[in-house]
Amino acid sequence: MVQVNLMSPRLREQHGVRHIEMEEVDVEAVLTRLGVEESEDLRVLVNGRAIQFLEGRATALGPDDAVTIFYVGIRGWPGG
Amino acid sequence: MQALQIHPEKCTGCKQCELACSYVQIGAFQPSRSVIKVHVFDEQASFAPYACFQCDEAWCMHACPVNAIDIDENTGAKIVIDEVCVGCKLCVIACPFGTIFFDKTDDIAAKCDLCAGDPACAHACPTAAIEVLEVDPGGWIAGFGDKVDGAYRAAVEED
Amino acid sequence: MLGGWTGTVLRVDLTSGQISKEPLNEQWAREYVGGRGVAARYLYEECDPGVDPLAPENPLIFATGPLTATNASCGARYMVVTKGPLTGAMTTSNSGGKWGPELKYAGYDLLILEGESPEPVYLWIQDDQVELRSAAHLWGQGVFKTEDLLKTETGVPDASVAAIGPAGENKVLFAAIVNEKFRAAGRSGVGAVMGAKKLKAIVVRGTGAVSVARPQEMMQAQWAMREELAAAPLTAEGLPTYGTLSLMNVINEHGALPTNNYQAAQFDGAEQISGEELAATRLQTNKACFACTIACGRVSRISDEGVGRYAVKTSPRNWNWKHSTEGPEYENAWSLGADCGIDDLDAILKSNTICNDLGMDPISLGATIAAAMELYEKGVLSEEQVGMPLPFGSGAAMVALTEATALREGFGNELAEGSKRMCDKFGEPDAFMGVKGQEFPAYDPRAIQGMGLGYATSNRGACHLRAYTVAAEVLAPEPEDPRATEGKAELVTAFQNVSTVVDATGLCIFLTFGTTLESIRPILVAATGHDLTDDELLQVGERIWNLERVWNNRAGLSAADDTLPRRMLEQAIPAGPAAGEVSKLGEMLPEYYRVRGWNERGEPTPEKLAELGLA
Repeated sequence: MVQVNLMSPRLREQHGVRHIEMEEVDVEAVLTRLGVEESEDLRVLVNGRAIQFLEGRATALGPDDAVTIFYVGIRGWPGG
Repeated sequence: MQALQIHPEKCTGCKQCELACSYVQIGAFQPSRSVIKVHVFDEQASFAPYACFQCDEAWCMHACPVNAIDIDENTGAKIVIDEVCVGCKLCVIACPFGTIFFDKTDDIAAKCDLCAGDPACAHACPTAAIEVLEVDPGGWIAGFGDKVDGAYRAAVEED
Repeated sequence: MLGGWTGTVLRVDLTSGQISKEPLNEQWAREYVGGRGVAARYLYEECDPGVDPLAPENPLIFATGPLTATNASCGARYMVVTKGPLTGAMTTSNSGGKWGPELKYAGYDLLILEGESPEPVYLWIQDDQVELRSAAHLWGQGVFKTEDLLKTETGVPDASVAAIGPAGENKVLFAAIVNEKFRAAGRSGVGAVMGAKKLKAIVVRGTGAVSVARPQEMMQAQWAMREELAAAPLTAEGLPTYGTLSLMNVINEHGALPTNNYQAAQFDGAEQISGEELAATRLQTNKACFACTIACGRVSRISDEGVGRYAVKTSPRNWNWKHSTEGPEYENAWSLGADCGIDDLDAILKSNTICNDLGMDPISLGATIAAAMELYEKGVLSEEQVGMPLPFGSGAAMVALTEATALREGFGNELAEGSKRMCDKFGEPDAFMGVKGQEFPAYDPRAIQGMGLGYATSNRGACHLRAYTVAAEVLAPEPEDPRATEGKAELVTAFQNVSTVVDATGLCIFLTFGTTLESIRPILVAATGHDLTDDELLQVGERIWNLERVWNNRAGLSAADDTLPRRMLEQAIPAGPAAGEVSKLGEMLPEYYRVRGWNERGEPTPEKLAELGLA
């Protein structure tokens, strides 16, 4: 089972839980199953690593993997 | 006529309203001359902006011995005519709400004139805690009557 | 004089009691913008870098920026600049609230305090009337009571008070200067410098005006930036709703949350001390600093269960919300929480409240207690030495030691020296987690490489605000790889320069989560009337950074001080998402010196200094 950690208050409210276990093959499937909408604020980690540094939404998931989902509404930063 | 409706529960205490008010009066930032004030109750972390209610029965206006307070016919705001005011402060004493001020720089009375119908403080507020309302003359106080009445009924029913 | 400024510097010689006013150096206001920059220039001119930080010869400068007290969003800040007793480096410690604006409305851009008063005094500034008054009756009092008494004594409830508590009086090396009870110039021990000068408080009430050069242009630019802040979810919703504490879960999930004095990088109790938990159980409301359109401040209360052990009282008039206090921020919830293995928000709030009342930096305090906990765990410190059991996770011990540190009682006297000196004294120098004597903040530099370089090269010792590359390496939509070292020298340099400029304007650095320097620049230019391009403004940041560096080098700091503890460089994170990582500072630092235009000894080259007008 893949452990899915919902770190966003919005998602927690939507699903009524903070952690869900599910059997899905990749990140895309998890996001689809949870009904997570595409947003520039969406951040997804697999085992604490941003999916940009893995295979993106196609990152494959195994039994011991953890997916973390949260939102960061950042629009600037000092130096960016 | 118009009046400012203030929602203290939305106020964060940032005083952008005071900055805007002083800016439209003098073109600079000087909260001490603002005629809207935010009282900060730090101990309760509540913030209470207050400004002139534009009373229908305006005591400041009646108290003025030189008729320096007039009614803006478009907005219903009670406005100080700077050239007429002699700075006697009787209006400041008369106001039961403490929302007309004595301006030490110009030595005359100062109060909210609703910015001729487009109050800067309402624009400046980042949390929409200040709203401009169209109200019936005297209508603003009717709501208080309902509230008192309701509280009275509730107290009676509890007995 | 440039717009946005009052044009006057207030100078007080505490030794003689002489008070004088002088014109602000306008050339410096152009070259250094203001705040941190102008104050650094004054310190550079007037203070021998070799001075003992607690000696009368070390000036204590309070500086506003040209946008402080204007309606520019978050134009609330003032900067305290002095030689820091914790670090021996030039320190620049920033605070919000309304003390800075109040100083400006009173008619002063900068306040320079010199010398040392023979007796405890406070400074009372009411517009152009300035006087020193006896503070004999206030010495020994906490910040909360001092503020209440001073407002009564001056008869001006609208006045703002910046005060030290017993920690500053006792020269705790990380003592803070606290204004409006809960806003603080916290780091590097600026409160100890004030205490050494026997200055208990500065009370200010200003009723004057601050004018800007091009008002209409400024209104338009400010309005445009404000709209950006209102449109960015983090500044519009995230910070008002959850405060900076919204970072707790995010950083923990990345495996970058230092735990038990940096022995681990993930904390099991993170959820219990998160912003979401605070909002659900203890938050009363949010609160803004002056002119702030974000309002990230937390007003919270001790939970009903926690009141028995951790009751707080911040004011005699605190009748409505009993046990109401402010905070915590992410940083102090980490230092007093995860870093000490404590997952109890009530204990954190209690300790944080004591820090505000007794006047201490909760980051350094929490981190120093965490280091002591490690020494206790290793058996280096005994229960007898500490006066109590000190295991990781003990909220009761942390709260007791918080007070003892401010008062320098018992083992608190060791903690009051900061963790570097404490760890050295007990023969465990490798347990000190910090740079240049100053404790790390709340991001493990092994998991976020840019932060390691930022900590190592920060002019005021380890600091998250000098180069917050977390924004680019963790929070950004398309992040830079936090584990890579490539490009980090450029990234850190850019962050340092921009952050320095924002500090110089008098604005709050949190603005930059919702907007960029391109939107801030037009406000600054319209306010001052001094035209600057984006590149010229960035060069101001670079100029200030190099000035601080040159001064620090003269104070005896060198490339050898641009380093991290061995635990960061040699011991990998043991578990979690970033397991196996160490800081690769050695790869990044030479590149950083090159990008900065410094030689391999970390000294700005003559060419670089000439380019910046510092030769």
